[in-house]
Amino acid sequence: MMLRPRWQKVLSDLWKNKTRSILIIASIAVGLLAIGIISSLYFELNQDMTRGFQRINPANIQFKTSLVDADFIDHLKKIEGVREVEGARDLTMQVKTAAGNWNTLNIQSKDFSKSTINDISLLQGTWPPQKNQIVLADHKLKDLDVKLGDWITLQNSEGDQFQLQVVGFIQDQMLGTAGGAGGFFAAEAQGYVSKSTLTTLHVAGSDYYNKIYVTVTGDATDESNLETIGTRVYNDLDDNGITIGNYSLRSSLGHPNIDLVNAIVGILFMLTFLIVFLSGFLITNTLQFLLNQQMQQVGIMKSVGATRRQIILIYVALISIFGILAFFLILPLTRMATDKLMIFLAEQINFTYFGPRLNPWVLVIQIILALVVPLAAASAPVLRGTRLSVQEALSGIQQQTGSAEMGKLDHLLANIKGMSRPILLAVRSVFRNKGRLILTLVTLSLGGAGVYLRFQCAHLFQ
Amino acid sequence: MAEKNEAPLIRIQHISKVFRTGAGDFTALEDVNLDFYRGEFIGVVGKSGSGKSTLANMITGIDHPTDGEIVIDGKTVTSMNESDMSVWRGNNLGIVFQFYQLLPMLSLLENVILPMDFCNRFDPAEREVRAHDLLKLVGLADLADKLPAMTSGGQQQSAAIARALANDPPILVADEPTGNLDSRTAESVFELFCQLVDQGKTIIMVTHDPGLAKRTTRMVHIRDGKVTTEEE
Repeated sequence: MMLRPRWQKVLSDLWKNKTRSILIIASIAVGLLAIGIISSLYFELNQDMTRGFQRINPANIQFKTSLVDADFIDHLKKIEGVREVEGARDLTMQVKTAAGNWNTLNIQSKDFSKSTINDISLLQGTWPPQKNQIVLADHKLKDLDVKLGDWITLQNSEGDQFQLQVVGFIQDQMLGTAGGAGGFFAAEAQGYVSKSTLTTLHVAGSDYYNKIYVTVTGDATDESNLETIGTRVYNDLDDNGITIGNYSLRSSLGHPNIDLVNAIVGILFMLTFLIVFLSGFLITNTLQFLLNQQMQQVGIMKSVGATRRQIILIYVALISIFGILAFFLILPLTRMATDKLMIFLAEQINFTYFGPRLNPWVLVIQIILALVVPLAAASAPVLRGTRLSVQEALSGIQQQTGSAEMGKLDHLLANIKGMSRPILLAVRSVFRNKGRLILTLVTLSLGGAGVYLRFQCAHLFQ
Repeated sequence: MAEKNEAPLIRIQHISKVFRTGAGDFTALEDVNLDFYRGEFIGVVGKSGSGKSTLANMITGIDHPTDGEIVIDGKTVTSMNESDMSVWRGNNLGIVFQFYQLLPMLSLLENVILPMDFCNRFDPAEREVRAHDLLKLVGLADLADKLPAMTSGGQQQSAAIARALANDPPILVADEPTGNLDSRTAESVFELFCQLVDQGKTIIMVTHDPGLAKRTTRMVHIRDGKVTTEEE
């Protein structure tokens, strides 16, 4: 049995004017793609930053202290609520860049082979570093411009210089955690050396530690639990005459950059809503154009017995197909763009990306928007177009129901003198359909706001 | 043939139509009173702008009168809303336009099925058979699958007549059905109308061609929006 003619018309409208169909689908796809990418980023950033951070067994409490020995570290393990304690030695030196400049390099040393807190991810080379070797965090590597196997020159505060070989690059998600929000971005380049290398670097008391990392028992995401145990350790250090330079608490799920990322994603959501609105206006404009083109066809259908409801259904079907096609078009594009952004962001904001995945919430949001936004945007032109009488639709001329008098603006435009006819024609055409003018101005304003916001976001990231 | 002892099939009472334009009001019809009977072939004639097409539009309900009422087969069509009118029109009236008004993206066959589809007339499987029969009746059996743009003006007008007959309406209103056709095609369309009248249809044909109108069973002259004479 053949397809009913009304649905045949829907398919023909879709297929026979491909340029128009592509334009409408593209208008819908713009908003869907934007909301898809931002929603995916929001969900995946939160998932990966939380999951990846938890996986490294991050220190819940960290202290920067005066020097303590291994026995004192063992002593801290006995405090109630403490699960693990590790000591590390932090120091700062200068490193010579390829360009010959001296940059600051923070160096950390501990017994990496026995370490269970603050796991690192090896990106390239070998781990842990041996004597006279150094492994660098990928953070700010560009500033140093070094390759695996290169020898770098370090200089201490006395001006002594040392050569260490770069044997690996790692990702350390704890970078900048002691520095509060944004600490990662402010943190200097970071290197990791063995305890034996500290002797090479003329570090006095190389067996001593000045950084203490603690993990807790119980709920490591409960701030009051962390606070209670942190205070106990703090008091113990204080009671033992240890000077505390810095003290911070961190949930096992609290990636140091997550708040910052959520703030940026929040701004991007606003940008996305602007784009969705913009997309809605584009759809309205394009569908208004389609309805104007098809006004006569609406009249023909009514003349052969179609009710307004039947005609509205034809256009609802057509618009829904546009929405569904746009949805399928943006599915792979959303995935590809999100994937590329996640890889970029993982490097920029120091988290582990666990790879592409299907996010049901994002799909639900996109499906709803693919159907709702085009229909909402099309409702005005479709309702207006199908409300016309058969006579108006067939002739393409709407009968005047109100006053035929001109408004003040029309009078003003009619009385403009001293312009050439083409310019007058252009000026009067702009104001002839005031609804269309407002819609165009709103679309352009939203577009401008979108571009402005995009540059603001880029600036914020930098 | 028309039987005037019966109640009129179409009763037009005190119909006026005023168009409001930027340049002022324009009276297209003024107090028109007419009765049309079942089986009549009526020719409505008049010069361009006389109001004959406006009268046809009032009968078909595609435009509304400013005053007066039209009763068709006992139904006051002038008081119906747009959607009720569409359904009623689809079932009771066939319209043939001067410029055919076929949907360009549908084949001739699909155009003929369209009224049956919208009005839900006939069994879905029967619609295609009926559309083929109607196209055969108007001599387009071989062109059923062609798009309108691939056929001549005369063929499109024949397809439009087939479409007007799709729901088997008792009344056909044709507005200048031959106005855009060559004389030979116009003649064959007219012959087709005569056959339909013989089969019991009532046809109201608006035309500016008095020669063609004279061959109808009744001629109504319109001038400046008023009925001037009626001839049988």
